[in-house]
Formats: sequence, structure tokens, C-alpha cells
Amino acid sequence: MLAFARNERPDDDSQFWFVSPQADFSLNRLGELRIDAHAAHVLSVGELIQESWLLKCLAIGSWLDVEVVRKIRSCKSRPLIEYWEGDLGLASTQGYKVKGEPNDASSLHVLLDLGAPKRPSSPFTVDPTAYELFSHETLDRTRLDEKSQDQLRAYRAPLFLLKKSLPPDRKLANSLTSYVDIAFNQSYYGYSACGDEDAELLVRYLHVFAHGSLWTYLLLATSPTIGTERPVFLKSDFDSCALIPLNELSEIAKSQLFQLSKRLESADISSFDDIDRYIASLFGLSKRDVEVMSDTGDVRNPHDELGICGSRPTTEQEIQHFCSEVRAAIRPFAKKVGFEVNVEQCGDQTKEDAFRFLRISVIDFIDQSVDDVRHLILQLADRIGASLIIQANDGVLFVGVLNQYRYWTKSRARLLAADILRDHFSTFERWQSS
Amino acid sequence: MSKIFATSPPRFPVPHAPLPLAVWLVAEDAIRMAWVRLRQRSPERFDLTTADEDAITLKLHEILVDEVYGSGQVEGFDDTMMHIGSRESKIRNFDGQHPDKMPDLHSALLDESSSARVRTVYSSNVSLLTPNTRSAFTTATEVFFGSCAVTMRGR
Repeated sequence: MLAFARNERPDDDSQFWFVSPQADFSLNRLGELRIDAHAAHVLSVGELIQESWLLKCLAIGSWLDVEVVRKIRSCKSRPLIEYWEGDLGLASTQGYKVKGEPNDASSLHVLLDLGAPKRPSSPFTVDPTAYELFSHETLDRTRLDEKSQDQLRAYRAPLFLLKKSLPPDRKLANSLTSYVDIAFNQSYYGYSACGDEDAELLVRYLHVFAHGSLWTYLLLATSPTIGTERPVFLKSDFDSCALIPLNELSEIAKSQLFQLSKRLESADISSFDDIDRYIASLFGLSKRDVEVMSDTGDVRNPHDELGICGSRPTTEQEIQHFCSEVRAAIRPFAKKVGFEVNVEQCGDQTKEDAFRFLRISVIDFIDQSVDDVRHLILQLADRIGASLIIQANDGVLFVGVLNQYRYWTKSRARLLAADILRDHFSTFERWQSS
Repeated sequence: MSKIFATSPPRFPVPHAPLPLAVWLVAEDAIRMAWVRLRQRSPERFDLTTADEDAITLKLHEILVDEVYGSGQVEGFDDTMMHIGSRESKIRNFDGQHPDKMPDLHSALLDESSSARVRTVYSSNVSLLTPNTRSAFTTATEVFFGSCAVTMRGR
């Protein structure tokens, strides 16, 4: 990311361009990069002060992602740390650190040690028989709470233990619950609910939440490291994520939460889709919101630093889905002014072509081929690094989309439909009125 | 009700072409639907004859969001293509000179920020085209390249 600035203090209404290239496997290998048309935004300083995650969110996604994150943050949620430590008065900390200054760690010898497994056990919950007692004599950071009556407060059960390194697949477990006191090292962020009347359910709540795709998406959209550096996040990323307080949940929702948590702890793989549905309903997310999250997660997978997934050629099936989405999005508006639109893939294309072309026309349009200029258009597109081509003739649009999966998601289909509606709909209207 | 959108042409230059009639008609249908529902409320629930402008706008917005938007009753008025803002939300004008515009009701097409996008437009009268290339374009053809202004190259 490069920042160009004038050495002058801006006021809140000052605006600037934010332009962010995407990892493009094939192009980057040649030492080149392309900036997508949807990746250039005008932002104001005031917006950025209010929503400091905006740049990250736009760097990995589009305005659709900004709307989704805003929606998540604006529902009855609170930043986790304010709720956990502020409202509930509970403890949270990063785990102990071994190397460094030798500080006495004998107080921890009464605890099991998550870093000393006797044998493999469930990745989702701590089996107390599977761990040795803590045995280090000294530690650099013990995480003892000197101000509290119970110095081991941070290690008291029930505990939610979150791995700071994001696994490639959430089914490999990104966190675990513990119902016994246990010491954990700096590879974990620990949240102890000890002392709360809903302690066990609180820990189960965080465990289920962390295994939902919403959490991974929030990390991708707002964490300074995930998706830009190595897949390790900061405790502040989890602390600042939006969580609906447990007491805001209905009794039915709490009961569902408990059942989901039990399934998760027993490593029931089928529970993940149900977890996603549960969390989406808690946050009032629509099918479209979930679609945006899924699309962005697919093309900007934090473990795909080279952008291989987003750079691959799109498949015929994806093109068909894309056409259907564009048609469905435009159709109500066309119908309103008395015509139907047809969206189909242009013939004579191969999956190796740099651009794949769609033909969007009024349904009764009689084709007058303009393919004779296609090769010139492609040359121009290459010269200016375009990712989208719209060739407009009365009654028909030929739309060329760069042949990379990142431009063919359902979310991108909606963005294209909005572009057409805003800027090119007159093509159809003119033909209709002629 | 249809006169609600019958305004004179804007007197200021805008950075984009007018929205197509279809978008206005969808928005108008949505407001009309909300208005009909508001009038159908019993006086005990909401009395139109005594309510002031703010109360009516608030209720209209609530009905638009809770009962009309995304309900399928007005095709196109859903989160596939449109979003609906909170009541009297602050939005900036087209060039950012007035950042605190507060319309009573605000609805927009997806990605309204795209007015900021750089587009390169080639048509038959654009001088960037070579004579040979230009002659290949018919006068009716326009080609829009969605790209950012910058393409960086270098090893």
C-alpha cells in the first residue's frame, strides 16, 4: 500500500483517493499489477476517523463489504472487550511467554499445561486427562494478576482459548473450550468466564462465534494483518469484534447455542453450516450479505497470499451463474419500463481467453454483429489495464469481464448490474422507444 | 403521488448521467406502497390527521424498511440492487462540498461510490484512436473500459 500525501493538516471533510491493487498470480509473476475499476474509491478523512477499518475492508473487497461490516457493527452488538471486561468484569489475556527474563512461575505448578500434551486429544475442547501439569520454573511473562485476590484468575475455568494463528480450515479448530483450570502459552488468547453466573454458556458462546465464518470474515475485512501479512491476528482484533451480549439472546437462541456448542465440541463437522446460519440470524444478515462474505472469503483467502484462487480462469458454470445473477438483478427494472432483458454468454470463446464476453440485450433484439472491432477493443483494454469492457450499441451491450474468478462472483454480478443500470440502461431505453 | 418526483432539471452540473426512469419508478412504487400501508393503519395505531411531519416521515421510513424493502411486494426494491439508508442519515453531495446533507428518506443503487470511478470512454470521435481504429467503430458504438487510471509496470 502506498500513501501519497500533502504536508498539510486536513480537515474532516478533506477527501483522498484510495486505490488498492489485488494479488494477481499470473500478472504479478511478470512484475506487473492491475488495478480494478471497483478498487478506486474517494474517501474523506472524517469517514476514516469514524471507521478506521475502511481502508482494509476496501483493500480486500468492495463497497458491498463495507455495507456488510457496517451492518454487523450497527446491530445490537458491542466490542467484545468492552462487554467481557467492562460489563461482565471478566479476565482475558495472551498466554504465558517462556523465553526472556526468568521470573518465578511456581504459582502455576497447580495447573495443567496446554503446552504439555501427554497424548493427542480433541482439538475443540480440553480433555483434562490428556495434559501434564505445568512444570516450568521460570517464565518471562507469567500473566499472573498481581492486583487480584486470585493471581491465577486468567487461567481459571471455564476458559475460551483462541489460537492466534488462523488455521487454513476452521474444521481444524481455531479455538477450544476448557472446563478445568489450565495454563496456556502465548500461542493462545484466553478468555476466562470464571465467576459469572452464565460462565459456561459465555465460553460456549465465544467458541461457537469463533467457529462461524462471520468471525473469519471480520478478521479478513478489519484486521491489519490477516489477508495482508501472515495469517496471525492480534488479540485486539478479537477484542474489537462485534458481539451481541449473551443477555440479549432469547431463551430459544441460548438453547440453540448450547446444542451447537455440544456438537462442535464433539467435532461434528456438519455443525459448521448450522453455526453460520445461527450467527447470520443473530446479526440479522440477509442471504445477500452472506453471499458477499462468502465471495470475499473465497477470492481473498488469508492463506492464499499469491491470489491463486482469485486469479484462476472462471468456469462455464460460474459464467452461467453470473449471467443468471445479472439478469435477475436487472429484470425488475426493465419490466418496470416495459421490456425484458436477455443475458447470455457470447459464442466462440475459449476458457483461455483473457476476457469472457456476455451479450445483454432487449429480448426481441435482432443481432447485428459488431465482432469486427472486438480485437481492437481487446488491444485497447490491454493497453490501459482494464478489467471490464462495456461495448454499447442501441439495444445491446457486449460486456467483457476479465477471465479471472475474482470478477465472476455473484457479488460482482450485482455490481455489474448496478453499473449497467446506472450508466448504460439508456441503451435499452433508446432501442425500445425507436 | 407520481408528482413526487416531477422536479425541474437540476441547475448544477452532476458527475453522472441521470438515473434511468426505471429506478425512479421502483422507488416511487415502494414509497406508494408504504404510504398505502400507513393510511391503512387504524387511528389507534397511527393517526394521520393529527401526526406532524416528523412523525409521519418516521413511520413511513419504518414501514419502508420493515414491511416493503425486501418483502417482494415491490420488485427491485431489495438488497440485490438497492439499499435504504437510515432516516435523516448524513450523506455528502456529489462533489463532497456539502458532507452533511440529510434527506428525510434515502435509497440508492448499490455501490453509489462508483461515481468516483475512473472510466475511459472510447467512441468514434475520440482522438486517442488511430484513424484506422476509429473507422472501425460505427457512430452508434461506444466502448467503456472499467479500469483505474493507473497501470503500473516494472520489474
